Amino acid sequence: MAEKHPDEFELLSYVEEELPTEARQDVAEHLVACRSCAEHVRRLETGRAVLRAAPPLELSDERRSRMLAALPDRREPRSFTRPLKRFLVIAAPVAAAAALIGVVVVNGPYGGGDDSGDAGEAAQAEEAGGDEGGAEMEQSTGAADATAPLVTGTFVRNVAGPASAVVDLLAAEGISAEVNPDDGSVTAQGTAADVRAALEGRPGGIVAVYVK
Amino acid sequence: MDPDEELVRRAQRGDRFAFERLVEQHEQRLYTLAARVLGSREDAADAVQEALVRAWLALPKFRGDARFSTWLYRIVVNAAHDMRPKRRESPADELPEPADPRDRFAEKELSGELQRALDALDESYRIAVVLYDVLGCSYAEIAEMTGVAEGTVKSRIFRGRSELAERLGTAVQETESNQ
Repeated sequence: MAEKHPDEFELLSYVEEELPTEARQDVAEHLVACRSCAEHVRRLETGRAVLRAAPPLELSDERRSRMLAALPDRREPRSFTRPLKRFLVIAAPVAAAAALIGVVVVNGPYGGGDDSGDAGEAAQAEEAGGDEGGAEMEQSTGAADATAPLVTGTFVRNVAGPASAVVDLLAAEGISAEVNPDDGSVTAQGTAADVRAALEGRPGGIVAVYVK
Repeated sequence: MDPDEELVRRAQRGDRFAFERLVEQHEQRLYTLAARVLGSREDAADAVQEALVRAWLALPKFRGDARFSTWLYRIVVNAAHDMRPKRRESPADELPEPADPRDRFAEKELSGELQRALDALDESYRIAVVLYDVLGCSYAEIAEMTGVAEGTVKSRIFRGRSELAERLGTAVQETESNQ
């Protein structure tokens, strides 16, 4: 055995105690005589020890809340009837109105009901020319969920985060803005055109930007 | 049976509350995975957020062939991978920055010998050792997540651990001698 070195699979299996007894004994005998393989084993054990001692890392409560609040509304599974019917009956006029006046009321973080993500009471409309990663927008009917919407204003676009960097970017262009603590979106003071121009170079992402 | 099965089924039907419970159960491991792979808390939080959006939107298509946790890890690995080119283009982002009170989660960049050594590894080795040694995934699960054969996973773990130990050699010995 001393003449034939174990391969890397055997050495890893030896360290992980996955070898059958006999094979394990063979490798152990080899290691006594072979400094090179013994060094491989030492490194495998050291690497494992260091990695397994690495502490788990925690998200802050605030960031977790913002992540969950930032989840977009999800379309229901496609079928040939219901989504089409909803689109024709509800979403089309909403989309038309949105296109006309350029204003969409965005439903904020979900309101707590078990099926609040179903969007069953809401009409959905795609943002025209949707930005990369753009969330679907919807207009709450209001009656179904008294706690929503939490965020109102004119939606401009979704951009890459973090939100504070977006605020700083806007500030550099002379536009006052702040992070909405409820959902991590950004609300700017000014016109949609100015804000859109200021964000022109910012890639698409998950931070929703509004003006009011 | 997947312990998450019932919550997954509810979340697939659009139950955000169920999805939140799933996130609560897995977020620490998702975040640890992203942070160790990316070497930055801030980038890790962005990657996890992106992964959760992708998972939420793709959940109706999840068929339960793999465990839900495995499926989530794979999405995080992909989201983290997608962030790497962006970081390389803007090396200034990798420098520690003072925490912005508006981004309390930003805290500080991961530091220390371990993370520096991990950052120096080939990405495929880093992903393999983090999944295997930090998260405790099996060879088969890692193979499924990363789309390679189990033998390749073992080889990556072998090389990842070996290189890590080599890079850490001096630092580890110093730490041990101080204890």
